Amino acid sequence: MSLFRQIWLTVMLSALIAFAGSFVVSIVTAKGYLEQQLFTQSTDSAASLALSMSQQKKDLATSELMVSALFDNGHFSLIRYTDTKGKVIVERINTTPPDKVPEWFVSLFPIVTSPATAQVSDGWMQAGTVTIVAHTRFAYQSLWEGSIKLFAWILAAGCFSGILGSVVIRRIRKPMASVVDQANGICEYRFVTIDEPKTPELRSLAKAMNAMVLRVKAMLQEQAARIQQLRNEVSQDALTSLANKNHFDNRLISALNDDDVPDSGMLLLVRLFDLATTNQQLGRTKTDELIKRVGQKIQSATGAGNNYITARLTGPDFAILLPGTTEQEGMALASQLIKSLEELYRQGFAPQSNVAHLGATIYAHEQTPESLWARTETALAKAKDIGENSAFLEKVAIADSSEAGKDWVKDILDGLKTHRFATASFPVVDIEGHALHQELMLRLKDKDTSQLWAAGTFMPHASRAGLIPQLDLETVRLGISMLEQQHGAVAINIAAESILQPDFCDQLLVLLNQNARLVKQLWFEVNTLGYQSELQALANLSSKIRPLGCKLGIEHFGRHFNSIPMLHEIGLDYLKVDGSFIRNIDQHAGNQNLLKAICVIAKSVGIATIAERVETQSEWLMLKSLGMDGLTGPIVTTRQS
Amino acid sequence: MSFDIKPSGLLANRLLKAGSAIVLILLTVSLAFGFDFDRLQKTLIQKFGASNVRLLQDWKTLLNDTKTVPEPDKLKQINEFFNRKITFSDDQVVWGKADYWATPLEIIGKDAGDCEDFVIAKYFSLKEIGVPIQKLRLTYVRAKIGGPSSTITQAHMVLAYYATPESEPLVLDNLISDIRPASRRPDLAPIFSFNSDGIWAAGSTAPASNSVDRLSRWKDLLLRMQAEGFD
Repeated sequence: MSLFRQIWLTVMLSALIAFAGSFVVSIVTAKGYLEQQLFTQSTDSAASLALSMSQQKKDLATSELMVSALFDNGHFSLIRYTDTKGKVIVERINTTPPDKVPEWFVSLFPIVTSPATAQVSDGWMQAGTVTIVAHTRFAYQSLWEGSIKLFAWILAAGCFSGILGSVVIRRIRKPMASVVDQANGICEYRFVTIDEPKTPELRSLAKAMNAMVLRVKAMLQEQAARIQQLRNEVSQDALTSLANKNHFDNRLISALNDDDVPDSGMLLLVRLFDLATTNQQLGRTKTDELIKRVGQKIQSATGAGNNYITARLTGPDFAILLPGTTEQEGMALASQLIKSLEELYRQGFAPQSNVAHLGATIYAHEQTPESLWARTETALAKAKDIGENSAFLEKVAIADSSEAGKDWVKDILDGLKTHRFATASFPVVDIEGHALHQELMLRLKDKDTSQLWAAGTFMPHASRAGLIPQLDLETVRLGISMLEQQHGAVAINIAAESILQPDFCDQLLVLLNQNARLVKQLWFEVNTLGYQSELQALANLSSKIRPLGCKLGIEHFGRHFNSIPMLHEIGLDYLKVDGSFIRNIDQHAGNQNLLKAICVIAKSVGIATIAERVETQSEWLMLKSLGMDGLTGPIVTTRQS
Repeated sequence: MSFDIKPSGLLANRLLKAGSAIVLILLTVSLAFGFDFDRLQKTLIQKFGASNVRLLQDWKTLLNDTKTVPEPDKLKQINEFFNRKITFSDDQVVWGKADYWATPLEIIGKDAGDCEDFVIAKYFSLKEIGVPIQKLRLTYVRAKIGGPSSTITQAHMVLAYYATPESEPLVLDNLISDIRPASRRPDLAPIFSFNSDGIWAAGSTAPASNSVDRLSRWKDLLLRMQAEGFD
């Protein structure tokens, strides 16, 4: 029983006992008082009657008249006149029961009236005795009415004290509830501070809890900052803050293999002209300045908020990966970039008018990085041949061009209508290899060939048409129907742009509520870019769906170079750490440090960590020693098949 | 809350009355065991000085001696004792009040009393030595002063003794020393008579609940008697 219920019950019970006690005592007292009054009335009447009769003749008629006169005009249940031998001479009895008074009341509180006697004399001689018993009828009525009034009053007082008790309890309850809520929050790794209540006992408790929460928060912030720092150290070029070669290579492998990324795009390679000479002419500091400027130009040319990856590979080499870009878009970006690099000479940062060349090529899934790099080198050589500050695209024949020219938006809308979607599942296991869940990827069945198109193929089109939320909901539906047929859990990817739409969240909640039985088997993971608005939306979503029992996580954690989110403020169950930090983890001390730090902070706020794109057994072993909780990737998929 | 039978007192008042009833029960029970003369004497000395201790002792001796004698002798000796030893005097003179019922101890202490005081003293004395109260009546009489033919009348009280319920009573009066049958007292016209039976519930020697509340003289008297040591 809750504390408040106990307090309330105690208050009500003690009030009840007090009131019931006072009620009974009042009635019993009143009853005693009435009995006494009735006896007094009887005694007085007996004395008066005896006195009157003593003065009169003692014949039967007179005696009868005198007794009747008193009886008929008074309130008596018995008047009896007996002679000296005890023989009854006159007797009058009235047994009318009290009206308007229920019988149970009469039997519960019987009013006992004692008979009163007085002696009648005839001159010096004794004539007899009068016995009088007063009638209880009016006493009962009086007692009954008094009891009703008392009961009404007690009832009113009881209600009032009940209301008063409730108000007082509510006053304590509110701050108490917030303290309890805070304590529960801490159990769930939600660290919130609360307003200090006015009640002194609760205030010191809240103060202590707030202080603890603030300390924990500060500690977590410190750890988050450390992760940020480690992440930058391992994946960024120190000079330009672009990605470094290792990170770019890992991301390129993702782009060429992952299911949920566009299956084609462009790779641009930018090389500063004759950096060795420049270095000699300008000196190291100015050369560094030039490189930094180039980095900025590249960054501003590619813009933010997209999935483009920019990197500085080695001394003079910069690379840009443009997933999902068409040839036209890519070359437009390339020529714009070359133009902006040319300006560096006019602005005096570059020593000669020939600043850089750009080689470009188109890539498609399943191609190797080596072949790509070879093509860009060829393109770069051809660009050099063209002249100062020029770009060249090395074209390749793309094997399957049936998707080109297809009206994807129309096809997606049609697919939604006719439910032409399916899912492919990828197993995710815990660190010991036991199944955790199946990660679902959306597939679109071709209308004609019944070929399955991967998400990466149609998602860019859907994104441009704003159809992502609908596709995400379709995936959820497919996941639920899958759960209806088989055991185990499924994980469903939700795009960051979906959770930003309130409509999507409402529809998702409707779906979850309709399938409450299966909700516990659903894991949702969001690919967040790390913007504040997204994190806010994620926290909102978390507060709505996690209480239902489903799990919520972030996928590709660390991929984007925005700030690491404050994990404890969102309310998450798991993180899937981006494959770019996992690849060759057994040989990369920097990534090991980063993962170790992520594991520590995640554990401290109750979040599980899962590694993406694990390929080798030694990576797995390393992940285990670093404290990761689960993994997914080729090694798991091949092991299962 | 109001109960409209009689003007109601406060709760405290009611409790006080209930308390008096309990005291009365104790009193009534203990009266049957006789008077505590040691305590009576102490009270007497304390209230009235040592001058009448002798009288009290005489009374004690009398009560002891008469316990076993026949009823007519009991009446005679008790009547004589008080008629002889106690001076008749008005309440106004003795107590400074218009009407006051004195206890047996007070009448001895003051060595004086009016007609009610004589009657009360005789009544309790007879009761003490075993005369049933059913045979005794405190009787209000209208007395003609100076003989049966006198036209001057006065309110008076005598103690009447009925050998049987039907018999003619004997009258114990403080005005004349000998006990006479009622028929030989033409100067007295009885108005009303009563005894302790009237204040108790019929058929019981114990008082009914708060029975003497209204008979305040009786209650007053009995309470005072108890305080003095009639227990």
